[in-house]
Amino acid sequence: MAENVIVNSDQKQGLTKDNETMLQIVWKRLRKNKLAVISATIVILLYLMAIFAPMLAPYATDDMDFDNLFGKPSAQHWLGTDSMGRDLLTLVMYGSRVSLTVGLVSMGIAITLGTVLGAISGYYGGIVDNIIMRFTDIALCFPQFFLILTIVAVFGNGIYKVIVILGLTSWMGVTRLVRGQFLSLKEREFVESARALGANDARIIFKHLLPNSMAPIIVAATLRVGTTILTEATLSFLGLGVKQGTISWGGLLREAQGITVMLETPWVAIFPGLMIFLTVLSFNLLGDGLRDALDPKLKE
Amino acid sequence: MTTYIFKRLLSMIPIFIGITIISFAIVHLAPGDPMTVMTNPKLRPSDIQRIKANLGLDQPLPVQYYKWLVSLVRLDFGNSFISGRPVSDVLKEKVPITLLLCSTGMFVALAIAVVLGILSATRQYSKTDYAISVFAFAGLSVPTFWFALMLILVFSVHLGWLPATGMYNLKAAKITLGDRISHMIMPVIAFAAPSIASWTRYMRSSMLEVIREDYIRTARSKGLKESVVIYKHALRNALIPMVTLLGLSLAFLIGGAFVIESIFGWPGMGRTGLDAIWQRDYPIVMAINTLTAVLVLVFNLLTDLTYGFIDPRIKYN
Repeated sequence: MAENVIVNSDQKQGLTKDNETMLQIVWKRLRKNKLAVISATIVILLYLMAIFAPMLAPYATDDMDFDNLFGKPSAQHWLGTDSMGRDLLTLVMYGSRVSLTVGLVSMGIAITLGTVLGAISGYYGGIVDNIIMRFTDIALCFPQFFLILTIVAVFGNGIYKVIVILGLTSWMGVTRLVRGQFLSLKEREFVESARALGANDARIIFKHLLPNSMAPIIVAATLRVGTTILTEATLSFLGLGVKQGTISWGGLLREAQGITVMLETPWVAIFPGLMIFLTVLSFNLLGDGLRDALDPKLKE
Repeated sequence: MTTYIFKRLLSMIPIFIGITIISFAIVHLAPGDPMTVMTNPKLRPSDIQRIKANLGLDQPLPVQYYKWLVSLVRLDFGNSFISGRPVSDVLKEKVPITLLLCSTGMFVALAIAVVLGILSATRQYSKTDYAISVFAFAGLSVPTFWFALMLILVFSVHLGWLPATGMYNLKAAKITLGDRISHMIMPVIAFAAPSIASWTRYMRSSMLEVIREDYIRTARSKGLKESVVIYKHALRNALIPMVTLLGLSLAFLIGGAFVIESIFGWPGMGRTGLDAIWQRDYPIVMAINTLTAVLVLVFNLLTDLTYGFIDPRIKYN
């Protein structure tokens, strides 16, 4: 009942139209931002490319064209071939699978962990808050990249380990964000009225505080995917990300860093990097567009 | 003020302990122990035991931690597993080299970001503003290591203008300042790129916020020149949040140095750290983790204190 009353009063002020969901409102605003729409399209296309790589790729990943080692981009091999005569376009297509999976799943781990810790910290306060915030402070002191390298060195590399390690080392920002949201929201009237009506903690957290904190969390999550893809590519480039033999954009660039490659076959070094750049740029622009669409007040 | 500093120092103690526990735990709670990776199948079990005893690895973990912590406070980080040199000697040699890269990079990034941020904010929604935004997004999205490779591809391989690796020309009879600078240009640009991008965005929004303040309107209405209003009245205030940003960016910046140093063959702490990671040289790895984390901790304190110093509106309590 109480929620209905609040919603109705909003409607009277003309803030929302009847039967228009939050999603529709956001979509309407996002649609006006051309860059964000293009970015969203690119992100969807990239995921489709990753999923359907076996059908879309012109060659198999182990097809080697021995007459065409380090082949220039041509009609047969649009992006050229690598040191073993493998088709670079095929490798780049398959390589997207690692980046896109790591980006999405690590982000999921980091956001979940950050949201849970931030929610507990902000809602309950007191000593729990103190402990969680001090732990966050400690984690933020470490240079994240070297810490990740250390953990990879100790526990070993491979795609699953990298996913977990990246997730477990990047929750701090979200924790602070959600805590801040909860701290300010829990003092608001609608929470007070819910509590007066006898709502328990779980109901207040999941029905009132969390939905109202979703906008900045979604923005942080989108931007997080980009950052995570960059970190994974850097790890794989250094040989500490996915295992050797697994095709990834970072790994392809690792093979391309030799001076002879740079001199004679620069395309091997250019295309995988351009793909990383395009992917991360799309996520960043989409995140920025979502920020404006989800909450006009957040706009700089 | 004194009470505040004292309180802040006290609150740093548990964080310091936490930092040391994490640095220690990551390496020692791993499956197996640091010995497993260096074990040569030719070694007899008795030899392994002796090496372990030598390195102190046969004692219970809390004892090992305590001993490590005590020597840490005395700035003794133990000896490298590989070379046997004291880690503090290695660091004494490498840290200044990294600091040279980091501080130059930070300075360059800050200078460029402030200029671009002002340009962007004073011409909001213009073509310049739009171009700078695009540039900032590109800088945030480009993989640093790839950007570095592309710099080498263009400026070393194709144009031959700049040297690709090292700190100076090893073959030259005399190291000139020009030689040193030419070796620094690409590493510094690659190092600064992500910071230029993100700081420009912060500078822009900080400047936009300040320009809307009443005292700016007052300055304008009393007939001051626009340049005086922007560079004297607005800029000073817009720079205040940038101080915090610098403090918060330090951990990220140091992380960037590891990649940049390994690509450009810059013989600093980052490259040493990466080699240590590859060789599982744990005393060096632990020292770098702990030392940089403590550095960030101290830097944060300094940031907070500076903040109060340059902005008298902030009250410590």
